[in-house]
Amino acid sequence: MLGDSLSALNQIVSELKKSDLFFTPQFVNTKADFERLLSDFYPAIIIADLNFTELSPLEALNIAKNNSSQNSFIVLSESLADGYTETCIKAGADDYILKKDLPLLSIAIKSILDRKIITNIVSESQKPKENSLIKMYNDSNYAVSVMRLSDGKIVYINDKFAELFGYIDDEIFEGTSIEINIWAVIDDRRKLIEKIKTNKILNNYELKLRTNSGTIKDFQAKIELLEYDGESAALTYIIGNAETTIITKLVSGNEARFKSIAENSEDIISTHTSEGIFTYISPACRPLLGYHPEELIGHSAYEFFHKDDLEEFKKTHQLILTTPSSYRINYRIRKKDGSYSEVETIGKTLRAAEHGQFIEMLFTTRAIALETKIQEYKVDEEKSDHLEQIFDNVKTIIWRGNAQTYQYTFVNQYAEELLGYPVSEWISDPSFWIEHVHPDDRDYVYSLKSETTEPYYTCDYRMISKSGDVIWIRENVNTVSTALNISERIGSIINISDRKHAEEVLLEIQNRYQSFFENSNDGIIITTKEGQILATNLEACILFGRTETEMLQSGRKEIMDTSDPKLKEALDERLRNGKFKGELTCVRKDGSKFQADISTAMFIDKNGNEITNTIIRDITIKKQSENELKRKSLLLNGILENIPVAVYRLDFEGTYTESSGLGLQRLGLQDHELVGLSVYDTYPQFAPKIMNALHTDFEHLIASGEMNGGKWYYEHFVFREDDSQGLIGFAFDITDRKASEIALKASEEKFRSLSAFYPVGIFITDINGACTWTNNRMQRIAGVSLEQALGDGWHRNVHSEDKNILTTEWKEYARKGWAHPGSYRFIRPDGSFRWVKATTSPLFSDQGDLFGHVGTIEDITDKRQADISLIQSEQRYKSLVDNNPDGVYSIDLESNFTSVNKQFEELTGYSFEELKKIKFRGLLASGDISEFQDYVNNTLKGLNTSFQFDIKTSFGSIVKLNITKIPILLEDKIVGAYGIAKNVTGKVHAEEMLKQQNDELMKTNQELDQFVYSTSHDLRAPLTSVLGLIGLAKIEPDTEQQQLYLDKMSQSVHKLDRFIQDIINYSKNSRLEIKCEEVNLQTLINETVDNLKYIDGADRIDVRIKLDEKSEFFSDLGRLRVILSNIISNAVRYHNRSEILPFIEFSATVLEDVVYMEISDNGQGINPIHLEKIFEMFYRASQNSSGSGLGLYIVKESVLKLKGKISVKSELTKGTTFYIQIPNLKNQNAI
Amino acid sequence: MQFKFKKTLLIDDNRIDNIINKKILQNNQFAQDIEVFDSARLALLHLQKSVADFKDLPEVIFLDIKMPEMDGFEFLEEFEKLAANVSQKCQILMLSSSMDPYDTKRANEMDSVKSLLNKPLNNNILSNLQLSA
Repeated sequence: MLGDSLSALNQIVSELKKSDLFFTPQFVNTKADFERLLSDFYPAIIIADLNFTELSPLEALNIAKNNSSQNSFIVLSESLADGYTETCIKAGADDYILKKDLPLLSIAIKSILDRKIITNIVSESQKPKENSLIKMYNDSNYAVSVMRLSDGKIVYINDKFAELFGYIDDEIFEGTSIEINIWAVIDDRRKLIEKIKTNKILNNYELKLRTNSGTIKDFQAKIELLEYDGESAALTYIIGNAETTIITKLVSGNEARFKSIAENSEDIISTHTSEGIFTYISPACRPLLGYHPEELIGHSAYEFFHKDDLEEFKKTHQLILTTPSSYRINYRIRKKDGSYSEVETIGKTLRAAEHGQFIEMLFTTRAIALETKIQEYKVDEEKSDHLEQIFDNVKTIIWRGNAQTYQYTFVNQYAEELLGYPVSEWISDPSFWIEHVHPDDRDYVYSLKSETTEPYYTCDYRMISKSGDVIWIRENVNTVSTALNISERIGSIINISDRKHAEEVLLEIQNRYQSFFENSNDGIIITTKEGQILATNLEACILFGRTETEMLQSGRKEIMDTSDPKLKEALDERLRNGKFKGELTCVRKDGSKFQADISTAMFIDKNGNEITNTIIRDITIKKQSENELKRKSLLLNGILENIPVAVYRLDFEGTYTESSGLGLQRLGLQDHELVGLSVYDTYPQFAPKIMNALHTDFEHLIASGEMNGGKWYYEHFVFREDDSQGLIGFAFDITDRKASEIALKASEEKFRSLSAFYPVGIFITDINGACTWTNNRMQRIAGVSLEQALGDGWHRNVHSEDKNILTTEWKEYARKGWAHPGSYRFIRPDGSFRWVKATTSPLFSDQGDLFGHVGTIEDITDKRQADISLIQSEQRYKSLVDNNPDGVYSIDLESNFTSVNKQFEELTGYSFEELKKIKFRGLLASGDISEFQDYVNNTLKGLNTSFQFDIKTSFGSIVKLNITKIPILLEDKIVGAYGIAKNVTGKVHAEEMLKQQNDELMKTNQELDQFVYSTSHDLRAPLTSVLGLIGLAKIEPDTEQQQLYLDKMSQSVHKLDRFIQDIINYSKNSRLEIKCEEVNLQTLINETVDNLKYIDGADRIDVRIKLDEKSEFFSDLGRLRVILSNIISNAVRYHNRSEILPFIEFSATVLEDVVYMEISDNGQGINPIHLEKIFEMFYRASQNSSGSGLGLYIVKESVLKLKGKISVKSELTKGTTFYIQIPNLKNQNAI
Repeated sequence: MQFKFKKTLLIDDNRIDNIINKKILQNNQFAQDIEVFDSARLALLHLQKSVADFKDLPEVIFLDIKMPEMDGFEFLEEFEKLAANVSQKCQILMLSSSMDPYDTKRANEMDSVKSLLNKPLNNNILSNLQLSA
């Protein structure tokens, strides 16, 4: 306040205090004070008293204006009569006030402030820049250049520009834009210069520019007219190009975009912590509030509120934090100069898209003085000129219009600037407004406007600019009533596109935060103030060695080393400053510790709880592999807990040793229910591939199978365990995906085949069956045009043989509303014919009334052709199979026969029906099918295999087959195998015979050796005994004793004789042919018994003979004698001496063709352990035996020679029975 | 009377040979006590029983090879399972009438077999025996 009358100045102050202006008055009465305060105090309003003589208002005005354009100058005068006031206004004073009108001063100030604010914005951000400002661009992230308009020379570029266009400064400086050939279209330069001269500033101007390398790119630029070294120049600010947009998007785009919008916005855009602390504020705070952004960041917004607004703001703050909506609040904010500005803020909380975690509050703030004031202004004709002057300079559309028709009666110049339509167009077109509202918003805004009963309302919606851009606007509308009772509305429109963009961008930032949280290389945890963990990312789990669940159950005490004194300091610091950054010791689940960089900050969540966000980076050097391992196991646990995957462990045989996971539920199985099963059970087809992972570390395949009645698909990832204990597999249930894939493929397939072979024609008929429409396909198939097809015309080309049936039948079906299936031929005008399959379906209305038919015609000519080919090829195949000299069969995967040829039936002796029942394994001669299974498995792997097997035919004979198996592939899947079976029995038989003979020869050789030594022993033994006895006898003087020796000698000689006799019998038996003569059994037995009489005790034995001779008996008498005498002599020799009535009973039944003989005794019996060996050569069972061990051997050999059988039954001390069955050679003899 | 050994065992299934061999051993004053078994199994049982009862063991055993039920080698297998002092104390002389080279080879491989003798025994054979007293 400039003046020397303190009373006058005090009057002004008291007057202004009545208003709602907030201000700090400073009185100035010297020029020096004035100049000092201009630079120290930054006055917003200068009020100069015209009566102040020391410093005239005109001089003060000049000083003020030269110092800054920020202040406003009001002249306080007594009257306008002297013309001085007018001079001041002309010199640049903002307003004047007559001392008698002092109460109007506040209004004048407000109006000036409003105007100033707008001018400030313009001058700060959009008016030509000072040279010094250009320096600001040196480090800008945006490419900036300055081109002198007079000669088109580039006078300034920043580094970014050089980088973007591939120039170095030297190349470009002082060259004209044409010389450096930057214009893709030369004429663009002229257009740009013209435009910039009229518009001063061009936003989002599109340029096609050429870089140094010659590439032409599209750019978006902001171009401003400015003074550069005293000359007009164009400052070009490249906002983006295709390249930078992509990079920006990918790397840090969202932030940059947000900033570029926020920084260019006329609104103050700010972000806050939940407590309201500024974390970001756009530069618009400078013109609007006088603060540098740096001065605000870190401070709470509450520090700047008018004390009377605090309560109100707190309420809104709470609402913003607790609800997802945006809230608008009007309040007063203290500017740097200490005065208060009334602003409108729209606030909203940004939350993570998925978990809703608080990210930040986003505020957009603007001074509302002007807008509200405009509403408050009465339509005052006197002031309207003044107003319109103001209006034309504001960055707000001001309009008046009819409340009923929405026709504008006035809009200011900015309307044209913002939306591009000339003002005249706005006013002349009665429906201008509604036509330029974005179509999506029309209903909403129109109904709002027509239904609202509020005299004042605000709404946001979109309008379409002349250039087609969508502009978000906010409209404040005030309804005023005129004398004629016609409502009029006055409104203002401001551009909020930037704010909307900012919100969108921030949403992206929020998503980015979320992805940062989830994908960060650092551990991030969110905890309560007390340290309880609320959320954690995977990396944090890895760092702490815990699963997510475990993390959420732990707290600070578990994960931080509480013995670390730095922890308390850190917590204290965080409590003081809201954040902490530094090194702390962390604790893993296993108790091990690690040093970590901790960065933690506190914020308040929507429920008002204090929450901390902590970033942890392990700074101890860790082996990558260790982390990898932990990650794996954590992933595994995580997977097991949350994802429908089946995890299993297999041993080397492919048996499940463990199984668990949600994925098993698809199979209706619980955890561990697979254990014990084999992967060959669950995936016989894919098991080998899974097992393959044992050799390859990893196998990935999609396997399908059936279990519990459903078909399912699993995608398997199989790993060899690190310690090679088996395999670990993950099976992802992809049944649903696969089902749809298959369905999709099927439908694609169908579509393709339909279009390729079975084109479908469609026709529609009315209720009487008269055609009303056909599609192109139908026309082509039938060879009739649409016109020709109408009515009954569609079947004009039906083959005459089919026509009568079709027409009569069709009419009847059509009337009855039945579906009509048919098959008939079309003869087309070109003479070709098509077989078609036709189906019609009745069409019913919703009410169930028949109103027509739709028919489809399928061209099956090709299909019929294909069918015929198929039949032919089948016949070819069949004749090939049927006439094959080898057996040919096919089996499915379960070795079930699916077809066999006649030769195979003959080979096996089984019919096809029987073969189906016994399956292939039923044919195998050996019960062991494992080897066979190997071959089958090989075949199933897709290998042609060839192998030999013995099969047992239905006749009981063994046939050796050489089988060649060929897998049957159907759509790349093995569905079975063909087998070609060659009978190789003969071939193999010869080989085997040779081998057998060889073996027999070897055996004979061995036996011969054995025989020689045994016989030499048995021959020598009696002789040596005799020699010994002779030696004794010679020196024995006692004759009685000598007599004894002689007896012994004679025994030895008898023994030798018997042995020699045995050898002779044996030799006879093996050499002599069978001699056939009649046998009298009675005589034979008697003779035999007679010969044995000399044996000690033989006379005690009762020999009983029982004969039942139904026929004469012919046999080899010599051999029969050997057989019987050996058996009977044994019975005599080994009779039971303690038995009172020892007996030998011989019984025989002589039949026509066979003779059964039984020789039983009640003798000593044979120990069971010897029983099976008694027929062996040189086997002597008894210690009491004096035999050679040849007797029973010869018996057996002789019986075999006679083609008979012999068996023995014996019980120790009870007796022995021999059973002999020999053929009666009577009939043979007759021949 | 001076005997070479205190006790000897004669195991042979051929009873005539047993009579002859026993007579020859007596004539040569080979052992004071000659026990004769025509079954290797019974001889083995006898030995086992002697060990259990701490009776004197034979210093020399004459063992025929070819015997039914249990032959000479089978006997030796079981014999060697007896306590170590038993097999050390008894010297085995095997008897054969066939001289089967296979038997000779086997007998030579057995540690417990002192030598293989041809049947029948005679004075000459006995006087040439190299036995530890």
